[in-house]
Amino acid sequence: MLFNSYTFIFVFLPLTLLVFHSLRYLKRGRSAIFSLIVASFVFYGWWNPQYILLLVGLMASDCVIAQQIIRARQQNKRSAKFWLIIGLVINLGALGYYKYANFFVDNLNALMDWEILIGTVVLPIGISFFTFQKIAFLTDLYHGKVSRFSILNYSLFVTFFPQLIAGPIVHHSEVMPQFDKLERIEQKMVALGVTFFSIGLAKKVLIADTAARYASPHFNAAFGGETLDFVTAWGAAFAYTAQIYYDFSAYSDMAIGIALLFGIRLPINFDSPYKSRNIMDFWRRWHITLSRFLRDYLYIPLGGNQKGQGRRFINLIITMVLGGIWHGAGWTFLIWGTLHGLYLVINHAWHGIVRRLSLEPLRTNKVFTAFGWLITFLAVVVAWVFFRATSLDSAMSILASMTGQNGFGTPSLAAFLVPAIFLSGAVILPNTQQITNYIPPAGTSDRHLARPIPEALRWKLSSQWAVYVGVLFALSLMYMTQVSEFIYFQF
Amino acid sequence: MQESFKKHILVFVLTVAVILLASATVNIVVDPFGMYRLVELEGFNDSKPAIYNRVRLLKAYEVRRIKPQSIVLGTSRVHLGMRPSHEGWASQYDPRYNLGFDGATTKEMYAYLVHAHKAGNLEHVILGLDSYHLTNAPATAKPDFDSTLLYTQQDWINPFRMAAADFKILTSISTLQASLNTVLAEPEPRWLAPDGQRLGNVFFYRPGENYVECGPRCYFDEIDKLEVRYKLEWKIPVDENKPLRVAPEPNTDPMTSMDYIRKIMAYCVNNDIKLVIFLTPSHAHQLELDGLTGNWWSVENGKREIVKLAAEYDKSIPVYDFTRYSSITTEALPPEGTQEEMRYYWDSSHFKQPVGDMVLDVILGTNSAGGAIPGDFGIRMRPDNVETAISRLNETRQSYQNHAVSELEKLEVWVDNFMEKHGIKDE
Repeated sequence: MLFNSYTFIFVFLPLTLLVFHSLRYLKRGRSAIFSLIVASFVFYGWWNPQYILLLVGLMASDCVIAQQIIRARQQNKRSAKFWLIIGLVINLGALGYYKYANFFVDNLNALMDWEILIGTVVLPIGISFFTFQKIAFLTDLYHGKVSRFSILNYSLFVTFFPQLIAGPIVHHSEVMPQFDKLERIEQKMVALGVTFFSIGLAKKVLIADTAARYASPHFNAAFGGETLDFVTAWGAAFAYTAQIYYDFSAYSDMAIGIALLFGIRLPINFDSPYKSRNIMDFWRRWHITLSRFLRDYLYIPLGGNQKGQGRRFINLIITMVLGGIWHGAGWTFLIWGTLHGLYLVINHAWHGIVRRLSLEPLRTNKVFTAFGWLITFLAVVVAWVFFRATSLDSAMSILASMTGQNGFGTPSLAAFLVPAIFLSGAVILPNTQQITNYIPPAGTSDRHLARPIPEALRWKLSSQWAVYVGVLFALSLMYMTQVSEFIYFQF
Repeated sequence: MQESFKKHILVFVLTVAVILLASATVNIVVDPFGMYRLVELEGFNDSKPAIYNRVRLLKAYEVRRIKPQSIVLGTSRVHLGMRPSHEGWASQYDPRYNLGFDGATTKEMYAYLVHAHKAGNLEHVILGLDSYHLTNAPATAKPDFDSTLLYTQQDWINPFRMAAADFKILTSISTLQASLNTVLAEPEPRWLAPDGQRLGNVFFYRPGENYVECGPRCYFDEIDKLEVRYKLEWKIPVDENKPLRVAPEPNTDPMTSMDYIRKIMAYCVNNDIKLVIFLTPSHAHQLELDGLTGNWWSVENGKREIVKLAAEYDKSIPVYDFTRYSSITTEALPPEGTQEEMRYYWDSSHFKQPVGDMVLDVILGTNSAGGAIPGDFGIRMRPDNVETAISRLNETRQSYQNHAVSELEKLEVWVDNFMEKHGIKDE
């Protein structure tokens, strides 16, 4: 079920809210949580009910493994590590099979000239997201950061429908404690939830889907073998840069908004990433919950920056390459991840040079920071071409066009103006959490508190803001006739 | 000063409601797709250009309002050529409605049949099928087919579906845009009759129409060229080095086109609806194109299959075959470069109303045409005469090919050129 569908907005969500809050009102807190778990399974099964079995199976095995880890730790047995490994193998095995089996076999066949046939393995929706949440949970159990848990809370932590299929990737320490406090939900949170959801819906329906109309035809044409000119290629790349930001951050806003309606605060996932002045800054602002997972459960265990500069760079590349192919089994995603890994290495190396040559004052120089922003933005745009392109050939063809190898072309005002307006908004305007002064959940190391903005721009519990948000929501509904899927559903 | 939560939510809900209600009101009054027909003012909203591309939507609502007792289902051939106001038909059933639309598939026809039945007191269905329907190709629906506009067999859910469909359309920005275009539109002749028929005599003579601009013969040739594409494009080999521009939509319906014909038959029999099937009287060029593109076998098999299916029921379902070589369907084309009109055809696919009248005369046993209907025009096919009919089809085909040599040479050239251009090999 899509957030931007009538079924979700007018049937599923109101019914789920009614049941949940009625049970809460009747002081049936555990039943209220149970109702959310049931609703989440309905939400998940809407695409393909058979994958509910996979989700339940994985959750059940994780519960058993989690109990074994806790018992082994209590008895100081070394078998805790064994159970952790079993848990990682099961979760990563399922993810690996569903996500990479076809890619692996196809490439093996091409490389060895074999003809292994395994049929098309369909990716269960959301598996990339909930696998990471469960891995973090098992790992923290092993490290003793969690010593007990309730199956009901664990089930809601994994299945909670606002973030089940496309994140934010929540950490157990920031949501599970909230499940025990659902009897006291501030009314303001619900109003805030409506605002977040409306802004997210507008970003998706009014902006991302419009930007897609300026990107998709050109990327499809390149995939079909057409050669784009310079102007068209840059226009398409900018349009996609706008589309992916508004699309994914819209989903995150809507997820946060829906969760707030149930009294739960989710972590933020975007912090105006196109305002970044360097690529390290970009990764602190883009898909924040993925970045912190990769940092805490991959980069740091690999040694992080503790084993010398060379090893740090290798760790960065490994982390970003794996982060790239997490998005999909394809060479384009691998190159996208590798590029960002290289960007980060260059960024870190540059910071080393700045420190060594005592050039720190440059960091406050306006021209220098503007140049930093520009080079970061362009690097991100170039990498998005690989991310969006359906094949490596088409990505290379578009990039060749962007370097002017295929003629200049005739500039079309709309093709540049529309993405330019959208991107300017992403660079200049405050983001949703700044407007709403949203406070993310406590529990994790980086809470990303919103940078303050002028009082006049801040959302309040007022009639004026209710009208603004109402207009935005109504307009979004009116534009919703053509339902389109969110980009991040495929990952 | 922070207001109360309740007031904030109330103002939000009211704002949303006012905007959506305002949009719905404008759309109900202007009614760009002809859904309600509550207000029709000359010079304001009587000309509705938006229905040109929304015939499936319009007809879903017309059926709800008219509650026809008798319908004719089919593609654009039926939409153009079959007249619900036919005298013989009128005497038996009322109200009648032409429920044909462009490119209708059997899956869509089945959905609209159920819709019409649930909307009122459907008693009589005339189903017009084209050759391509009588195959085991996967059942499909066109992109503008919207099942949520239609009644289903689950009666309890229908009121909710209808309300949801209305809400969705009335609060859509594209409907609002269509309303604006309707109010600003220049008046144009009404080509869609209230009984659902597309009036060829109006439609083809609108300013700018290719039929007028290029002339009837030229138009006929243009459509023949398009038909070559329709009948061959599925045979274009996939070039692995040049992937499809857009990945084809996965077809999740495991049923075939023929399966839905079977469902239509079963539904009518189970609900005491009198069903008559006819194979449409397209021009002989259509049959020739089937032959030239290697689809002749499917024409023959289709006839056998439909007769076999129809005979499976206790009171067998009548099947009339007009897809044959007759003195009507072999009408000679006007000379090239002239504006001379054909008597029976707009193009090789679409027959004119007099032909539709003759079809109804044969089916209903009436004689509205006044004159005698040629004896070779159509026959009722049964299991005991289907093979004879097919043999006769092949004989008359031969005879036609001997007579229409120059016309058919052109068709052959177009087919050869298309196959050569797209690398399609002879089977």
